[in-house]
Amino acid sequence: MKDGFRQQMAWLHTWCGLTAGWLLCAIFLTGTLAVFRQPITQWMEARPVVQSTVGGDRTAVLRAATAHLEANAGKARFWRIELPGENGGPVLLAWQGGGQAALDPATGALLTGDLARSRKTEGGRHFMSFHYMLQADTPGYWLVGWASMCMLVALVSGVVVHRRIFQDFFTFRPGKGQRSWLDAHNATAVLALPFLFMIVYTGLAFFYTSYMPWPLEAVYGVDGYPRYQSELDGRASAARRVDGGAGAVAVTLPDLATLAQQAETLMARPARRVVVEQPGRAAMVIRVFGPADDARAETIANTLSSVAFDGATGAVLEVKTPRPQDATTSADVHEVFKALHLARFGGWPMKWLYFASGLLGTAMMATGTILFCVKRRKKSAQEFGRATAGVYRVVEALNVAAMAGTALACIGYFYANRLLPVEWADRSLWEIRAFLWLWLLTLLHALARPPLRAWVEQLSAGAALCLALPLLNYLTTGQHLLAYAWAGDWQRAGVELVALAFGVALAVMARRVQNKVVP
Amino acid sequence: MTARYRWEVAGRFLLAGVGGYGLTAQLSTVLALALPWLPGVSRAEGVLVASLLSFTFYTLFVLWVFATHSAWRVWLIAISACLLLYGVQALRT
Repeated sequence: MKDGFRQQMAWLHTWCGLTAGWLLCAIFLTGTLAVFRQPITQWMEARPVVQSTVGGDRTAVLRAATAHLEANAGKARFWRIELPGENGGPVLLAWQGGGQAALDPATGALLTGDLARSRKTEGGRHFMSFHYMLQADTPGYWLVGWASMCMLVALVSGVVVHRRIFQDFFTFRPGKGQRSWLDAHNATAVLALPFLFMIVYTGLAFFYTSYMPWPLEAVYGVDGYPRYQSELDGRASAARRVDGGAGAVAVTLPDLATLAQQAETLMARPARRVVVEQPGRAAMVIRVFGPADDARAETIANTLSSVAFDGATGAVLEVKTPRPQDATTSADVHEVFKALHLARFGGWPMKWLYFASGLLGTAMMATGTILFCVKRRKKSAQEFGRATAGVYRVVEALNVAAMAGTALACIGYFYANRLLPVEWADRSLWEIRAFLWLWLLTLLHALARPPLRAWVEQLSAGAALCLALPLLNYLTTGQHLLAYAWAGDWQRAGVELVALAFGVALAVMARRVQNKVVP
Repeated sequence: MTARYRWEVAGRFLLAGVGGYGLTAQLSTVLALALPWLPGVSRAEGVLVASLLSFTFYTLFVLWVFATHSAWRVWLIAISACLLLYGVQALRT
């Protein structure tokens, strides 16, 4: 450690940033992809493309759904009907016990065979679980917490080190080696700084009762969480009715189409999901939910609108809509943090903004760890005595695996989804294993090859896989970009378009590193 | 780079990581117990505010550990602060 406050902060920034940077790169890239977890899941499930039918015959569809559920799931404790959203796709039915079916969104006819089939997959949820626990349960969860704390420390010390933060933002000297890397590191960091602080703090606050349970435990005791939560939330809890037992009086099912219509008027929003609790029993409750991503909501927290009906009488039990004039309670603080972290507000434009900011953050970490090596390639700082050269070698390899390797593993996950047999029972598990094994392989490859060669090879492989993704999809499922676009399925088309954009970006990077190897 | 220097870095790492978490936990706990004394702050809100602030305490403590010239002094302050805060909690019951 050197003398002087700024020098000490620079030392802390370097080592804290480097050691946590590799993990943070992977956490950030997967978190950025997790912004679009629903479109990714849809792409990976690979259901057949159905012509978009917004405003189709919903009455007929809901009647057909009710008939199918009564016949096949009369004893289930709940039914769920997912109506098609902005894009086409079948109406999905699900009931207690894992039963599933798909209906044609235009006619309500039951889809069978290939048309109903979806691939068993974790889909985009894998990126989210990896992002907050590295698919490694409790140790992974704490490791992410440690990396997040390091990021907070690196951010604050980084701001302290840069006294010319405003000028630095307008400074970019390309093609000047080390200076350019420093400028790129500064520019991405300054541009994304408010986002970076927000995302890492809300990420930690998301799990505050797990990362820092001691205040809660001291006040409420070891199992005090439910009591704490109910004290925090002054509002009455949602309407819930007692199960009258399976043998209780049977009640005829009301017409769901009429209730959905009524709920839409009350919510002033389209109905997207119908849930029937205790179907056919005296305690039956029917809930109609609005869109999960409510771009029209004027509040950040609690944006899901819903209307609950008494199943026996059809009376309205509860109407929930996001209304800013409602009194907020302290429980909303955590809800707002969660919504901020998950981009659960503002609709698609906000998701794209989060996606772009996430990529900027990833670039900031990548340029930072590369800068460490570029600086020392010119002149070794001899931090580790005789072992210095060996340590630098490992640092270079970890850099490659953390950036190019993570990207390669992410796109490899999509390939595993299409290439593993559809019939396999554990296929969703093997998709995740493929991701993790591929990631480990990139590290071994980076250790075995000269650093710059490893960069070129992994970036090129990633680019090739990204660019060939639409082709792979066509060869394995027969679906393609044009078919998605033609059917108005922009979510799945978007997945392939973003993959193509990533492919081009990775190819450009590979070429630039290649030019360094052979000038 | 002497062996002494290496031990010092390792010591600060331990102080920042483990000591920082311990001190933060104690500090937030006492804060959660004390905040309801303020008018208009409920028991639950005290826990909420103290827990959410803990990440800020932790960050500031880590920065302090690596900015100071004498890590021994920080060890001394951290341990006595922990004992003091623990004593406050023990007195409450």
